[in-house]
Amino acid sequence: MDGKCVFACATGRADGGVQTFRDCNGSLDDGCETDILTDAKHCGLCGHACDPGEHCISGHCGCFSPLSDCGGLCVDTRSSDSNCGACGNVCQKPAVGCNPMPPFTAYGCLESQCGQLKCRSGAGDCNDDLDEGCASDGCETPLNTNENCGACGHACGPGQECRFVQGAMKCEDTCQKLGLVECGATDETPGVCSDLVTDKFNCGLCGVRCEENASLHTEGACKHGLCVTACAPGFADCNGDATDGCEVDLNSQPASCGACGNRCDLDAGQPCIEGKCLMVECDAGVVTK
Amino acid sequence: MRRVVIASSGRRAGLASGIIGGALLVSFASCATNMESPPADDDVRSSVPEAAAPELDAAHAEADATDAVVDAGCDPADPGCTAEVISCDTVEWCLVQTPASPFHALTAVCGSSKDDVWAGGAGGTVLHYDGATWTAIPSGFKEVFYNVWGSGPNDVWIVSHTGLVLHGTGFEDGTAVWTNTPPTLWSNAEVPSLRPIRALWGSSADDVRMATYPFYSYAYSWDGEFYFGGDVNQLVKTTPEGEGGYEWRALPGSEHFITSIWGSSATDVWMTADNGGSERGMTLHGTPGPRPNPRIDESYDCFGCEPECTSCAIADDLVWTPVESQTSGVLESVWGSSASDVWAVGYGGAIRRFATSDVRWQVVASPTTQTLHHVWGSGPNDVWFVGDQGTILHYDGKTIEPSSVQLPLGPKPALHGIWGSGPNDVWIVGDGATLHYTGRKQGSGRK
Repeated sequence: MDGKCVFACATGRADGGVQTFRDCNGSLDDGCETDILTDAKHCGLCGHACDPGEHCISGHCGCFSPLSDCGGLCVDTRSSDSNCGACGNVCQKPAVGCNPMPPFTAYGCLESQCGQLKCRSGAGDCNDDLDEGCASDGCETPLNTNENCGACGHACGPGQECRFVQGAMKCEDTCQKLGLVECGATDETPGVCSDLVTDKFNCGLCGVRCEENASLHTEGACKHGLCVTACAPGFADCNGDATDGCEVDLNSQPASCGACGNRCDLDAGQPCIEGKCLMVECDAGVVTK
Repeated sequence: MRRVVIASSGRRAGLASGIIGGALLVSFASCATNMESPPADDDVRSSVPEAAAPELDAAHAEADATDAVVDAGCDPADPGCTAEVISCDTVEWCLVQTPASPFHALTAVCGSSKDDVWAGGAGGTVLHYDGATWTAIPSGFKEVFYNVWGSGPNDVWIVSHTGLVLHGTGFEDGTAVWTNTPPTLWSNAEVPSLRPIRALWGSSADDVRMATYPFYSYAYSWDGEFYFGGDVNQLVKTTPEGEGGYEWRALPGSEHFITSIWGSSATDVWMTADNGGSERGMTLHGTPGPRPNPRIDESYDCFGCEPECTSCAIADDLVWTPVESQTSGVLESVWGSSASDVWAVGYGGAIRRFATSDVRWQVVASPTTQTLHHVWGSGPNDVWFVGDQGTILHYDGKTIEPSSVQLPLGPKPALHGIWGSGPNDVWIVGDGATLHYTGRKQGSGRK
């Protein structure tokens, strides 16, 4: 920068995500100290402060209409059972209600009012009779079918099927069309599309979960359709004993610094820092002319 | 790599010449019981390799090696990286092209002769080699096939899970017909689906064993009068008298997952099993026991013999005895040249050996820390071990040494399966790589 090398905060992560920490105070001592996704004084970029009482949510001050900023969460107060009509207004079950309840219904927040009959998640009032109250047939239609996918009347097109994707039922291309295999399907619910060659929760076959154990510092992966369990980065199995997993922290273990058996000078107390035996620059000594 | 010397023992003294009768070898042929087995003498080993598979020619390989650093996609300084494809002329194992996808692991290889070899793997891959060409046989499945075994050219099994067990009647007119025959039990009990089956072995067409994770089921006694309910994970082919067809007997095996099965005969069978915890390197030895076999203790439910019996008998001719393997890592493969010479390999490069008089497995010093996935040999003085990062080791009766191998550019592939029709025709399959050994070459010396 300006003809000089300067430290810069990394903006990319090894997994392809975006690194959101920035150096907003200009001090090298604490590195890239500020998360611009959540810091109300530096929201979205350094120095951009939110109004008093407003939260920084995903790098933006407050929420986009019609959602409201309730304690740092963006919620729809028209339908939120915990924030009905206003932040913090938790709906209570009405003292007198239907008995029995119409199928797949519950009392909650509707149009900013508590105590309203509404559909449970995954069910729809497709014949629009819920306003009949206790006499209605409730939310009679499951919303996970190709005919009613996520909403009443939302039908999937040819070559598509209704699947649970990113928190909602959506019409998606069939697994077969995508060259994938459907795993975890039951008679009632569709499964998820899986690439059996790379999916560590469905490796080779549906349901084959690759072994990993955080306390043993092992990580599982699915490669070429077979599970591979390897040491977590920075750890190694130096004693060959599977029961203690990858027992050595190569970043700090002086007897195995950076690699198994790579010993720092233990007699001299040489420490292992970030996988390297710490070297101190020689004193230049007395310079004679 | 260290050179490892196996301490010689008296039982091999008579084999000092390295010449073994061909007839003897047939008896411990591993994959198919009627496979061809030419003698393993050194004269044959040094003969000119037979012209067989379309191996990648050296010129092509060298052209590929240009700009290797750019193409390899891995750090050339990493020992797990191949930055340059070595010419086939200078190595013992050469790459062979197959129609399999490089994204799919090939897990197992097995055949009845040098002209009839099967391989299976991920993505529903089934391949056949007819002595000249590997052909893909569309299976119609996307699941991984873990193992292949056959009693002969017209009786081949390829297994994935309890709902996907293909049986084939052989390669004919350029293709093969496979029938999915999910195991049905003699006891008529249900077999839960989607249990992976890795272990598969038989001593004949009528004596086939496969194994999976335990599930609660029922097992009969031989006379069928009483039966037990408990955890089973072995399935043994049975042919009820006078009824035609076959079914599978469910039998207890280990407490958890059985990784491999091999026997020198129907009455001398080994299993390796991952029981978890400190018993990940479990091995069990099956030998003839009393008939009926009263091996089930009172913790199992016993039906049909109340009130007089205190333990159930089951229809297993073998009594299974745990044998200490001296490892806590999973052993993935067991094979022997005979009942008195058995090898097992697994986690972290573990190599174990068992001789008849041994009370536990001997620890054999291993020249690698890479996990070994499979062991196979043509005889006591010709044993191969394959594993992660392109590891291929050979035992010649005295030492275990790394072999030399041509590998594709990029991260070195895990090698999962090995089988040969004889000492000079051996196949290895792995992650996007198929390798062929056709005998020792001048100047290719084992590294």
